[in-house]
Amino acid sequence: MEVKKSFEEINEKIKNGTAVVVTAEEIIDIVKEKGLDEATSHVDVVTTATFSPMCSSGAFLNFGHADPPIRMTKVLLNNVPAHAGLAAVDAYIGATETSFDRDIEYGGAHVICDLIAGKKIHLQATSPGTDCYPRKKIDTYITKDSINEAYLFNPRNCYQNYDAAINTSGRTLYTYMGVLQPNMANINYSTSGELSPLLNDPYLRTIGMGTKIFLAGAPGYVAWQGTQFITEVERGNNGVPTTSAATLAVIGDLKQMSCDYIQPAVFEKYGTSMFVGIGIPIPVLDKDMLMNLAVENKDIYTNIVDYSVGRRSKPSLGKVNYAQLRSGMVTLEGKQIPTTPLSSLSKARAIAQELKRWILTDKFTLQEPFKHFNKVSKLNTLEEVGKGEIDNE
Amino acid sequence: MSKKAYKQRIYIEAEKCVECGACTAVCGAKALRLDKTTWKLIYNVQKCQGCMLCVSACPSRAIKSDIEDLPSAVAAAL
Ligand code: SF4
Ligand code: SF4
Repeated sequence: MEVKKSFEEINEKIKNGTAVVVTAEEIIDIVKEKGLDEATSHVDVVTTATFSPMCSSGAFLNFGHADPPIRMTKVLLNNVPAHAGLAAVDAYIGATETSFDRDIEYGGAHVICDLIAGKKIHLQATSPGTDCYPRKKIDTYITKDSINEAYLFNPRNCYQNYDAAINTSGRTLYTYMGVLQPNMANINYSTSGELSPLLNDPYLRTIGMGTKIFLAGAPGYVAWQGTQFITEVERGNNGVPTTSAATLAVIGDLKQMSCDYIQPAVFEKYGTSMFVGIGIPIPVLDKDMLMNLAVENKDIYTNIVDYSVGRRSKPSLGKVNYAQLRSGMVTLEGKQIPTTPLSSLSKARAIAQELKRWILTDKFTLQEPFKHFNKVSKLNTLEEVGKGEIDNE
Repeated sequence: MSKKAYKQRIYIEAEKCVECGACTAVCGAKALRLDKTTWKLIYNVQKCQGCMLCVSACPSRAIKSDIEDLPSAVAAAL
């Protein structure tokens, strides 16, 4: 009889300590050894993880009220501007914001990680002053413990797949995909392949609004679909997208995070970003689910895209699988080209293991999504139009 | 056969390194590489040309070109 398990049954097993939990790398050999049927009844949860630069990240902070109070309209944190176009003492610090004095060498990501590390942050805020908020200026220091809420809210993390980058031009390119040497001298790629969360659940059967996740060392949630979310893309026979597809908006308590799983990043001549560690536990509901979870690098494909073309749509020079990318060398147009990951597999593995420990030891249960994401077949583009030309049907 | 002494040109702060591999993309001398099993960074001082391209390519700013730049605890441990 075919094995079927519900979220509730799996959570019961987690609570009574009988759940079998393995990582998305470990499951591959288990399926080879036991076969799909036996592995489906044996394994309950598979942990997936990624640790990659994720620019679309940031944190909401509430500083608490000063006396006399101020309605902050301009906010600097260690000389990095935070968006203060919210209520009086709320602000959002974006990871890629850069500082006035150190430019890209110290940005929003550094402020966020310094807060997580418990460091003192210099807060400077100004205001025109109002009858109810008379103060016009404040210059003080905060820590994560001195303020009220501090939570990460990242609008686009955890890309399902991502194009690898190459440079066919004659000059070195400095990009968010790292340094691309001229004349196709290197290929950079950025997912953890067979360990990556959304590559293991290609149709997001178990991941949606409310999914409990590991976010930078703290429990977090999937809050919404990520920005630039698209599902109707080219897929392999195994259902795995061969290009960028789904993304996630995630939320979690900054105060509980650990710098072991989140770090600022500075990309030369590009800007500030942030390495974010995310782990997602996926339940083995049935054989189909396990088949997805047993996906291997050799069966996950991505495009090699030419970053020397400065247009929205960059040409693909061909498809490559993650086993080839991981081998360190790819042959393209008769040329052997070295490959470099930008996503840390060693960190992703540490996250998958830590999440496994959470489930086995701390009884971290799984949350069935409250709502699955709708299919999206097209991304809108931004066009330069006159006011009268906009199509508002 | 006489042994050749190699001068260490760069220093990697293990605490800051996230093992992303970005530095290996600019190291033409192949002195920096990720181990294919552990996926941790390996620095081969014998191959290093001292070009310093890795220093600015490292997003974690974990590579230092001068021992003077290192925190004293790290420098003392070398
Ligand atoms: S680029 Fe920096 S963080 Fe990444 S592996 Fe090299 S030294 Fe480590
Ligand atoms: S200094 Fe140059 S040769 Fe030496 S490790 Fe760095 S990039 Fe490689």
